[in-house]
Amino acid sequence: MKKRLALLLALFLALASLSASFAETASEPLQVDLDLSKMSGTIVYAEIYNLQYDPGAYLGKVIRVRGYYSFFREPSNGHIYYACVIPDATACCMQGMEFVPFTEPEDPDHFMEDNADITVTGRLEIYVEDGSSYLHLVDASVEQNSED
Amino acid sequence: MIDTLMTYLQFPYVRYALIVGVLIALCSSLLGVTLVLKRFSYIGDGLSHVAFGAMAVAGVLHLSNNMLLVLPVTMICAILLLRPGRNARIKGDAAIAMISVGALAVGYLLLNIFKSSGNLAGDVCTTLFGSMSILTLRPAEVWLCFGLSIAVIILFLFFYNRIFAVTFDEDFARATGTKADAYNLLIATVIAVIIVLAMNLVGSLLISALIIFPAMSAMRVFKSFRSVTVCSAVLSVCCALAGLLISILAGTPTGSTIVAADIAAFLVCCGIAKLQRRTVS
Repeated sequence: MKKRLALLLALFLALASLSASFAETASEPLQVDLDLSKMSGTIVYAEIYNLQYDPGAYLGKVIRVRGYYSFFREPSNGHIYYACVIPDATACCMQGMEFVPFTEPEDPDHFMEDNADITVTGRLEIYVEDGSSYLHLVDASVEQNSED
Repeated sequence: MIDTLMTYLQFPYVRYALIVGVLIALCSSLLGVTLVLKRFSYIGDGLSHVAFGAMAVAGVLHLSNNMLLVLPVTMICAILLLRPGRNARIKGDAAIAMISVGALAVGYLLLNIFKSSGNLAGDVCTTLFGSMSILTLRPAEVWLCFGLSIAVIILFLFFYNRIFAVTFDEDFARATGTKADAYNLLIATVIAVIIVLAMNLVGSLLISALIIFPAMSAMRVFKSFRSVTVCSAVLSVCCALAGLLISILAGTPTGSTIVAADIAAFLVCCGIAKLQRRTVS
């Protein structure tokens, strides 16, 4: 009996500690590896270009970018893609970074105003769709910047 | 600001940009003096448009290394434009203008017909104004730029006296046994190489500034060929460095920031020249 109780107690403690650590992970803000929101437009352009050209060096890193919110719904399957459009110094070579919000918005159409000034923080991952590879920021937190 | 700069300098592409930028600025200023004195200031503009057209063709052909096409095409056009024009049916400035706008138009037309990316405006903007291309160089491109720049500098230093002779009085140089045509060919080839390299730094529309401004600035202050060449080289390198650093820190377009620095240096040199004249009189 004592053995069973001890075993149950150990199991309970293990589950409790596991759930506590999971809760910590979920609420803990991501440690940013590359903060592009604080860099000049020239460097941001070069970093995004390098990131797309040679993603291997950036995969798994937590990246923060600042840009304009945009979203697109694929008509064929209804899949929604969220993006942060990053303008560059010359305003002719805009780049986009797709992201997946940490929690899927209940109403994606009204998640955020189109072209809103946002800062996105997420972990860079690669995914394959229809035979092509794409980059996106997963577990992304999105903040709307105040007009300053 | 220093901390920010030190952070940016940790990125390899920023270091590549500074190295390549300095080398290209040095090369363009060396030959710039010769071109200005030979009344060929506008040839850089014409050849850069040829390079743009060739780059468009290379893009359409999906060449992995577009230099393989851009460099020889620009060289051929440079030779055609700089060859002695006594027997040519289309003379000097008209030939440059025709080749220049022709290549630009055909290049843009090809890019539009055979789109290779979704951001055509961005691609054209980058090629014409060199928006940020200097910051996106790959190590292989950096080594190519490095090798070609060193070759240009060595050629210039090795043939300095002959280039000097051909620049000032081609007929006299020919009369004294100098193979003027061969040296003109050399100058044309070197100019083509510089144009192709400089497209990365300032884009094809702003290349002329890199060739003309340092030479003209130096000519305000100095009078001998050697001192003008040395001053032009120093000014060009300083302006390229200043432009690059300002562009990186302030987030401004690289090519136009470098040219703005060249304009500022020209105005300063004009001021110094005025002061010199006042002191003499």
